[in-house]
Amino acid sequence: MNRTGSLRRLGAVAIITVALGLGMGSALAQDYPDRPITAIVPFGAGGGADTQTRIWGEAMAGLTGQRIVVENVAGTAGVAGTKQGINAEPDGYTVVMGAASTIAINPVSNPAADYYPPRDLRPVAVIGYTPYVMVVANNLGVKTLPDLIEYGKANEGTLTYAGWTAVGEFARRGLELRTGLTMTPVPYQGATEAMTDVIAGRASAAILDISSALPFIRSGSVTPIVMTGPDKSPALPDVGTVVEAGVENYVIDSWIALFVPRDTPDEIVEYLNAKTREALKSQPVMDRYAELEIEVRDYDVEETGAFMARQIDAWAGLIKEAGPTQ
Amino acid sequence: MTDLLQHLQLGFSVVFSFQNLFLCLVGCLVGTLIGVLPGIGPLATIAILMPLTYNADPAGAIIMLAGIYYGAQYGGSTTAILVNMPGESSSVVTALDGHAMARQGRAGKALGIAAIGSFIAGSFATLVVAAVAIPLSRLALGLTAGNYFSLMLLGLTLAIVLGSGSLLKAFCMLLIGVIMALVGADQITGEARLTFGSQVLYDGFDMAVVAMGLFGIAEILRNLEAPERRPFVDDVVGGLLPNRQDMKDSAGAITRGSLLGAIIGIIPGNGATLSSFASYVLEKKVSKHPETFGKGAIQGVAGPESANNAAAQTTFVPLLTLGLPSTATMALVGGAMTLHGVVPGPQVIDMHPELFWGVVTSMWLGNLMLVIINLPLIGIWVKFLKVPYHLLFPTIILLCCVGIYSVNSRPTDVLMVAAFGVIGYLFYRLKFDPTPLLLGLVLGGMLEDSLRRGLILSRGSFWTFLSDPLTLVLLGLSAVIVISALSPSISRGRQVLAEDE
Amino acid sequence: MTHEVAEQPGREPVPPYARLEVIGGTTIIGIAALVWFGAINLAVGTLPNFGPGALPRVLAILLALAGAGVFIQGLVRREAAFERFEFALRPTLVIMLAVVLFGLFIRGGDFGLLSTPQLGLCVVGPLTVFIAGCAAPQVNLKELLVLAFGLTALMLVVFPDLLRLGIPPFPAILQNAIPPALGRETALRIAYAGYGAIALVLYLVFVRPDRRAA
Repeated sequence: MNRTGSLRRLGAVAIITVALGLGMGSALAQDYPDRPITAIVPFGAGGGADTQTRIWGEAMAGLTGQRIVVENVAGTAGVAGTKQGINAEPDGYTVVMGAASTIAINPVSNPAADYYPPRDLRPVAVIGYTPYVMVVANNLGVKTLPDLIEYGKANEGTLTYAGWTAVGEFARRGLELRTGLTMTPVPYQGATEAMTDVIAGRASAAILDISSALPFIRSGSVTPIVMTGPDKSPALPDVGTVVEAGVENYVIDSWIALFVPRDTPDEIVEYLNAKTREALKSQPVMDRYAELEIEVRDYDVEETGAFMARQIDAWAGLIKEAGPTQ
Repeated sequence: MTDLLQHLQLGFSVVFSFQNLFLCLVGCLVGTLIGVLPGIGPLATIAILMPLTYNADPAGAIIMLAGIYYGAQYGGSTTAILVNMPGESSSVVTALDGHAMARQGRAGKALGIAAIGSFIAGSFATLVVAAVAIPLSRLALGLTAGNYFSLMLLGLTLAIVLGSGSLLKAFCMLLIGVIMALVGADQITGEARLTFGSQVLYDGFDMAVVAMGLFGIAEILRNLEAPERRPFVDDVVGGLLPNRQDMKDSAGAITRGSLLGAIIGIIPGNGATLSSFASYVLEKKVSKHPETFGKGAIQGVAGPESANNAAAQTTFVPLLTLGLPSTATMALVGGAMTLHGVVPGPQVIDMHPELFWGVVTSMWLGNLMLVIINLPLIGIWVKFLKVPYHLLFPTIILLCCVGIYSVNSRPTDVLMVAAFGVIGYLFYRLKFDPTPLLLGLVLGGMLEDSLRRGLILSRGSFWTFLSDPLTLVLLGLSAVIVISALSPSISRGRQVLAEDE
Repeated sequence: MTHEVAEQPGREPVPPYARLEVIGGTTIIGIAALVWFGAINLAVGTLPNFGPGALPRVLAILLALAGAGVFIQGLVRREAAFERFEFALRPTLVIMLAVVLFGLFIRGGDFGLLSTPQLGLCVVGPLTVFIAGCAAPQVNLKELLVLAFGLTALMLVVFPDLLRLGIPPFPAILQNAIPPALGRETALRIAYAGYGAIALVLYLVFVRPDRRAA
């Protein structure tokens, strides 16, 4: 190797370096991410949102080369964490997870939630989607939603509904509004206690996420009668949907989605969306999701935005009709 | 029987993963370490170390917590024997004869027999847990809201009666705990209750925060009252292995202690403490030389240590099968389980069999680790005993702050810990023992829910609610216990217990 | 630890207002009143479906009665006359200051009456240890300094680095000034290595000579 050759090579390297350096200022996203990304989960550790975020975070770390630091900021029914996400630097290094409760329900029903997601946040991608299913006690002998409505009419005032969350309570009220069914609400601490009583026939019905319900459905302890979302579930192919049962304007389901502060640049949003969709197609994520009965919604940024808009409208409509829970 | 073996086999397959063995070991070591340090009992230990388990999967986390729990118990016994400072109430009686043995230069033997007795009792208790868990959880599935309500009432009654100090004051603490459980937003309606307009109280009181304040920080304030007194620790521990005569002397005590402890532990209330006292009294009664007790009788160490260890393990039974923690420590373990997405209750065995049996077998393994790893490390624990308190307590303070902050990333949690530290110290000065408060805090929500549920389902008829035979029996039992506790002879007995502590 | 100072009942009878159980009973009654006040606006509901206000009211009444019981015991019981209420104010205040400082400045934020900046574990950690340590009856400032830096280094290793918990290590201003080329993880490692070194140097310079002398 001669002298001029190596000099020339050195020159080329220098030019490329300078070019890269100049490019850096204009195209920030090319270097993004060059440090760990903080993902705020507005709920405590261990819940469904936290678990999904951690599964997603693991896969993202492999794809982006940066680890995802999950920060659980629980408080005021998710308001505290969501607000922290809204007020974060819009540089893509802080993202916030959203769920139906923090994005669509709280801003309408909870005075503490003084934010408005369509204005304050940008939806990036859906991390996971979990259908909801209505189950009833076996001793009622009903197999479908119309059966249950008929049973309710024949045995006025005997049906009870096990509830433990705001979503479940709105699910009951919405169903009563749309079908004329009446069920006495009975409060429980959580899904486990509630299912114990539905199994024993002490409570008649409950609406809950399919991953919590499936073990009991598979063992035949409770009867699934209807999917409360727009789609059938591959896990329960024989169970029809509310739409098929003739109930209109009624969708109860659950999802976890990725949001960033409003002013986050487009390139970063697109980048996160692309990497997230790639992450959700990776084998480890698919395996864990199958275990937890979580479905993937492979939406681009625009589709994600449309999905959120539909969700926010649907919940706002239902809450307006059903009235506040208090 | 074959079922039992299959279950235990499933458990061992869970425990014998590198990660879980490691977590079990770390739990035992850290638990012993903190248990040895003066002034921190198992309750505060678990409260402080809970954040360490967040990154593990649920089974690993509970295995580690369980390890911390009996590690701390073991550490408490070590200090009781070596320096006559029981780390917690269940090793109070161990100090009587254990420390006497240490003065005679037989400290090693006392530690050895405590470890061996604990291991035998632990193995037995593991089998008991495995055997009764399934029938009990089947039974629990059939329990109505009324049954649960009365069962909780019985548990709380026992907790008050078996605790130390004035009954009336314990009742006050319990009520405050139950009221604190009601604070916060209703999880269905979102309506705020007793929050006085404060956002901080919107999510209610976090058990870990309350426990860390009332037990962790308050304990430090108590200890700072008096000028520091360095415990005298003898470097000469002596041989660890008991000889044949010692084993012969203590075999009976270990057997009786194991049985007694395993039974008492299942009953709600402070099983570990009660069983160690009961075992000590029993050993003194059956001994041919009762006059040697208090002067270094090896049975006085072997019996209570076996009993409290057996009881420590069977206290997991009500938590794992009924979802009802019977002691404040178990309440914290239950809280940690919930945090990891496993709600304690009758469903745990069916829905998370690997977790359940993993935890059960890890108890046995943890005991084994304590014997084969801790005994040789006794020299190191003795060194820790010599850490001066003026360096120790700032360490604990920083650990508490960092630990509690990392749970929810909520700065207000740290401020709450400070507040509960003062409150805990105030209660101590006013001679209120805040242990029932923590139990009330845990059970309060369930108590209200089951009462409301029972009344809705019985359409508001108190009679229908009460007429269930099991409910009646349980409520009757609670009443009998309260009345008998108020009777002069038993209240005198409680006084003695309180003074010993 | 002993509590000799506090536990020895005075020979002199205590006036009623300073008695342990009188103060204890009053405190409990005060808490009951607070609960009652908080529950005033909550619906009581009906027996078949009682409202959120029902249980707080019932419990507040029970608590007030139990508190009154303790109060009366304090007046009537003979031993109660010798139990004086005592409270070690200085260590309590110092420890509270240490913990509250940690809470206020670890991440900073709006606490209603005051807003605080984020100072992070690097600043708050040594401060908390140092202030807390001053609560001891006898304070050894040199040893405490070593402990403050050494412990913070250890916490930085365990919590943000090993366990990867989201606890802020740096003050907000410093955090944004870290050059991207360096990266936060490296900055963190430099920080705890530095703190560890400080602790070591302080130990060698201050503490060891003292120990030798003693």
